[in-house]
Amino acid sequence: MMLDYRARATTELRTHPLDEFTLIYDRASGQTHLLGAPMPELLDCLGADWESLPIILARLNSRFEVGGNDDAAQAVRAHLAELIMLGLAECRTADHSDAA
Amino acid sequence: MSVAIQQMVALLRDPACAPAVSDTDWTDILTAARAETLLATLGHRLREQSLPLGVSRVLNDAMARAKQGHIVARWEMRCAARALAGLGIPVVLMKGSAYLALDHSAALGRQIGDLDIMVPRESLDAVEAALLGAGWEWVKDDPYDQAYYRQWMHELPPLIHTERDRMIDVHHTILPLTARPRPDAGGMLGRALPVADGLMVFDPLDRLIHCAAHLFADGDLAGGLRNLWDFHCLMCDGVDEAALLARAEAQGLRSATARCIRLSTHIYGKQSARLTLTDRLFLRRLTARNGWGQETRPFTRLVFYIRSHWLRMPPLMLMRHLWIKWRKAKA
Amino acid sequence: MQHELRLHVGPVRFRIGSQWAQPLDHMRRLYADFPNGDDGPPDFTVRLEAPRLMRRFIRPQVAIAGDFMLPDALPLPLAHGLLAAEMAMNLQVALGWRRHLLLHASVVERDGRALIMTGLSGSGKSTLSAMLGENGWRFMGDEFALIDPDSGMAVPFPRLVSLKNAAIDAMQARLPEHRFGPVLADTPKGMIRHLMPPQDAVKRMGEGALPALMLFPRYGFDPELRAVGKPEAFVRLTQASTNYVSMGEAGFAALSGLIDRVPVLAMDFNDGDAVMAQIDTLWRDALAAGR
Repeated sequence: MMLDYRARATTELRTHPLDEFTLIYDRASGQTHLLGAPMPELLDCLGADWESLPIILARLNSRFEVGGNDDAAQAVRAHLAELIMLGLAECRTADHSDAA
Repeated sequence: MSVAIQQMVALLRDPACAPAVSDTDWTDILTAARAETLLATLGHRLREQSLPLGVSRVLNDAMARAKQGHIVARWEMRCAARALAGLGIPVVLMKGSAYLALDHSAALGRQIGDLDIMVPRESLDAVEAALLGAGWEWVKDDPYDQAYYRQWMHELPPLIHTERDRMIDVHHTILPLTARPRPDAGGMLGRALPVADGLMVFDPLDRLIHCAAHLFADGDLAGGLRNLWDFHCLMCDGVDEAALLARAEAQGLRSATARCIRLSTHIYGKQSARLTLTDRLFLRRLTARNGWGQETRPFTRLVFYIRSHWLRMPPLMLMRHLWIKWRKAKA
Repeated sequence: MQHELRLHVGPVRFRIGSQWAQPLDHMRRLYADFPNGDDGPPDFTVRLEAPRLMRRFIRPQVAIAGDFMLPDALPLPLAHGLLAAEMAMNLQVALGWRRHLLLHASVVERDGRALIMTGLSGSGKSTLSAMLGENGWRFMGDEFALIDPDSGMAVPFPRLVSLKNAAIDAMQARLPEHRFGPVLADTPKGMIRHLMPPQDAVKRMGEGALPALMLFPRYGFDPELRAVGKPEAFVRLTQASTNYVSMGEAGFAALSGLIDRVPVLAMDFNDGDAVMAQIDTLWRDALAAGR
């Protein structure tokens, strides 16, 4: 199933760097998250509009050189799923119906 | 009524009484209000009044706590909506969550605990599977409790989300199947109105009837002053009383609804209401709280505690249920 | 409630009701230096009451009740009434206070700055704060650190210090008997005696101080000192806070600000006197580095 991804509204997340980690306070949920690389970098690469995985991968590559192979794509997809489970990113199916 | 409760309802009814309250009285009023989970609501009612500093501090804390609770409650609604979106069924918010989703005055200062939703009875299995798949798990693992809930209650056994540590109660009707009135759940679902995130709420009349059912036909009335305040706020929407009672009649809940109308008018309304003898007994139970926050009137409370079980379960079932619970406790 | 006491400690005003005179008599003596908090309604009401009518007179038991309650709390024997009152006050603050970020910690002040020591029961934080409070430091509290979310200051909350077992002997050797509460034997945590805070701690309980150093002490281990990284310190402090979550964004701001500005050290020790000297050194270094 093809998914599109996008960031949460910037007004909703408050970030605070803490040494090599990033703290995120989610104003909409009241939850605090402590994220280590590559999660904050990945979050940074998500846009305000819906985008597919290849676009996000390309942006990641241009900033951090993750590599374009299948393994990289799979890893990024897994990390994105984690971010969505934490509620820090959103996704929907590419045919524009609502997904989890 | 204790002086503290009397003064508390007077302030809710007419905030302009505030300047007349003495320091000693404030102490007892705030304590009683907190015990009745009406403290933050009182704070909202008194927003325009000039209050002693110590009183404002306590009220502001309560309102801030309620506000943070609303943030968490809204998020919980969003998460449940997401988990159930794919099922294509009506998911109806109940009680505090519904008032919050509607931005209704009943939500001001209201503490919102578990998320209560109602779904069609035939969708229960699908709803259960979707929630378990999205990170919720059972609170009561015991097979007896599980069986009891499924067979007799009006809800699935309670579920809790592992990471967020919040509970969800999934109902399929508004009263236990073992209780005497048999409301028309299908009708209520059919009349439900959409709110945000693909969720729904009961229509204005069903909302009131559910409030009355919850208060009088189901519980032992603990926290009744809070529920009656909800009812009062909902009535202030300009509801047609005759239409309300007609709908309640069709649900088998006319007597509970009429009692709610009389008592909420008597306690919070601007005009007086004619109370029956039974109403006065209910009133006694509802106002059994003093300025130290203690529950008073132990005999009245015991009568209503027994009554609440009586209403939920026919006597033989109650005996069996208590017997099993006693045996388990002894083991 | 037959008996009533009002108490004002730091920024918190308590109203304590009791069905027996004894616990409040102890409190009146031990909190004699404190203002009586009769100015306006209290922030919290505590009730010491018998769980059942019989338990008021026969083998009397004290159940802890009040604005905030725990559903399964076991009652205490009346002989431990003072302990029940102290636990009840702690419970109200832990569950109900939101004007400051709460950390399960002891706090002392010197040179206008605060030292915060946080750890589990038995870590030694209470005893350390009591000892430092009698040796040139100002005692600010042994149970809760209150951090102002706007200024970042630690605000005093100097209640009776709860000393357990061996710590009682150590302090009794140094301080006059009148500073101590009754001996409470056979509590779930062993023997307990309460210690009155020093008079200057009470006189100056309106004066906060900016934290300069945070320690995670651990008593009963071979001496070791380790710097604690900010991420680890943040996570441990959220676990040491009862109101971080309920304070929402203000709690996040207060805690992240505290961790940004204040160095954290984990300190294992087994010698009370040696550790006092070590704390002196660490303090001087922290202040010097901060300038």
